[in-house]
Amino acid sequence: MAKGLDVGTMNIICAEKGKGDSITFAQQRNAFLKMEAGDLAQNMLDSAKILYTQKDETINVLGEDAFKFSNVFNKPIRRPMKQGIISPDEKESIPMIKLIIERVLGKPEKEGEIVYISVPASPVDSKVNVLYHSKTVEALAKRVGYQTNLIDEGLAVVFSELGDFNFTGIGISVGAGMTNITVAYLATPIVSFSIARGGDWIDEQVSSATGVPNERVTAIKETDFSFNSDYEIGSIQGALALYYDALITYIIANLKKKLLEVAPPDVEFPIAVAGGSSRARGFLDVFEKRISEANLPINVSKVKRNRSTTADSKDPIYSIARGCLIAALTREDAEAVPAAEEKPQKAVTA
Amino acid sequence: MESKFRYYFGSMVFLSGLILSIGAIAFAIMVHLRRTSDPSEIITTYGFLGVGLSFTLFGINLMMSQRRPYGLYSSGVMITGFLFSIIGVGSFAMTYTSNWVYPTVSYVSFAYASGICLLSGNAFGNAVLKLIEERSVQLHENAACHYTTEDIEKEVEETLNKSFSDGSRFSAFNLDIKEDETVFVHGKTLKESPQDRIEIKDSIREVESLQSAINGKVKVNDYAIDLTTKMLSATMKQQTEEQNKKMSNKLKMKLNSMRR
Repeated sequence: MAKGLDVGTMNIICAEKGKGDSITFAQQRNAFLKMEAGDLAQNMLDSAKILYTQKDETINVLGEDAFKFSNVFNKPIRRPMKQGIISPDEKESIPMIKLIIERVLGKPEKEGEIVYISVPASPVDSKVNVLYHSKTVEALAKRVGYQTNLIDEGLAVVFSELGDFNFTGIGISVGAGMTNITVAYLATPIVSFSIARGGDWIDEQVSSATGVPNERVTAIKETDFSFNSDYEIGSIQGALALYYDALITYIIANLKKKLLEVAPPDVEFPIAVAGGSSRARGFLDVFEKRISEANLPINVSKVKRNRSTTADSKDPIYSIARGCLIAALTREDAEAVPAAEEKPQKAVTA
Repeated sequence: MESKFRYYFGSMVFLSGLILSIGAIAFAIMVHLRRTSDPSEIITTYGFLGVGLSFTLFGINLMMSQRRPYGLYSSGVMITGFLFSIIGVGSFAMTYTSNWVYPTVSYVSFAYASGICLLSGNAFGNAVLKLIEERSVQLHENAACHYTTEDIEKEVEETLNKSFSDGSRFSAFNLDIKEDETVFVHGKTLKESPQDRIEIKDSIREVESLQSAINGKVKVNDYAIDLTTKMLSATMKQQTEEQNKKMSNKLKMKLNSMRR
C-alpha cells in the first residue's frame, strides 16, 4: 500500500491507508539529545520505554523524549535538520534521520511500494540549495525498499486541503524550519517557493529578546500560547505574538512579490494553511486579517479553516503527510489501471 | 488596388527625390559652388536639393501609408509637411536674390524645417506602427497555423505530467548511500517495541478528485480549458476508433485465412 512521508525540521510523519475508511499516522520528533552512557541510565531508559541509541560512551535519546529530557536537564537539544534541510552543522544528522525514517516508514509490504516524500521548494530569501537534502532523503527511503517520488511541501498541502476546490488555490505550510508556498491551478503548480523562516525563527527571536532558553520557548509556544488575548509586558507570550505576526507579514509580502512575477488565471484562489507552526490558537484569524489587508494581485476567495483538533487527520501537522499519501495513492491507482487493462487483453489473445 | 497604386506612386516620388538630390549635388560640384557663386547657381542647387529631400521623404511617407483611423491623420500630416517644405523652397527661390534678409530668412527656414520635420516624424510613426502590426499578425498566424490538435494535446499532457509525476525540477541523479560506519547500538525499545501509530477516520476522497483533475475530467468555467479538453477527448476517441478498426480488420483477415 502506498505511503506519504513528511520529512520536516521538527517532525517526521508517515501516513498510510488504514483499515476501511481511515488513515494511520506514525510520527516522530526529528530531534535527539546526547547523554552520557552508563548502566543506570540505560536501565532507566529501558524501563521508561524511551527510544535511544548508544555509541561508545554516548547515548542519543530520540524523538519526543529528547525534548522532555532537554527541559529537565537544561541541555540543548540536537536537531538533524535546520531551516528545512539536513543540517550541515550536525555531524550525526544523516544517521539520525535514517533511523527515524526507517522507524516511521517501516518495511514495505511489497518491493517497489510507492512513497511520496515532501521536500521544500527553493527559498527566495536564502542561498540554501535544497537538492542535496531532497536526494539524500529520497535515497534513505529508497534503501528501505520503496519506489520514491518527491513532491513540493506546498503542493502536498494543496492536495490535502483543496480537493473541494479542484486543487486550485494556495497551499502554505508553516513548518519549523521553513515556510513552503505553492500556488496551484487544477493540481498544476504555478508558483512554488519557500521562505527560510518558520517556527524555529520565532523561537530564536523570542529567546534572544527575552533571554529564555530556546527549548522552553518552544514548549510554551506549543502548549501555552494563543492569539487574541492580552499579554503582560515582557511576557514570552507577548513576544511570541509579535514574532508570529512578523512571520505572517513576511510570508504574505513574499507571496505578493512572487505573484506579481507571474500571470495566474483569473479564478478564485482559496488559501489553505498547514504545518506545525500554524497550530497556534488564533493563527488563522491573524492570517486572514493580514491577507485581507495585503491586496494580493489574485482573487482570494477564503482562508480555509481546518478542523483543528489533535485527533483529526485534518490537523495542520498531518496535512503534508496526508497530501503525500493522496499523491501516492493516486499514482498507485494510475499505475494499476494499465495493468488491469493488460490482463483481459492477454486473456483475449490466449 | 489602391494601396498598390500608392506604393507604386510613392516609390516613384522617392526615386525622383533621390535623383533630384543627387543631381543638385552633382550640379554643385560641377559649378564649384561657394559663398560668392552666382545666385542663380545657389538657387538651382539648394532649390533642387530642397525639393529632392522633400520628394524623398514624401515618397517614403506614401509607401508607408496607414489605414484608418491613423491613416487620416497620417495623410494630413504628410500633405501639410510636403506643402510646407515646397513653400519653403519656393519662397527661398523667390526671395534669395532680392529680399534674403531678416525676418524673411527666418520665415522661409521655419517653413522648410517644419515641413521636413513633419514628413520625417510621420514616416517614423508609420514605421513603428507597421512594425507592431506585423508582429501581432505574425503571432496570430503562428497561433492559427502551427499548433495542431496533437501539439495542444501533447502540451497539456506534458504540463500535467510535469506537475504530478517525477517533477521536472528534481534532478534525475540517484544518490546511493553507503552503509554508514557509525555503529549505533539500538536501545531495547527501539529494537523491540513497534512504532506508535494513530488511526483516524478519513475516507480520502481527494484521491478520486485528483485522478479526475490529472486526467482533465474536471469541469471548469474556463472556455480555453473546456475547449482543450473537448479536443483531447475527440482525438482520443478517434484514435480508439481507428485502433478498433485495425483490430477488426486483422480479425477478419485471420478468419479468412483460416477458412482458406
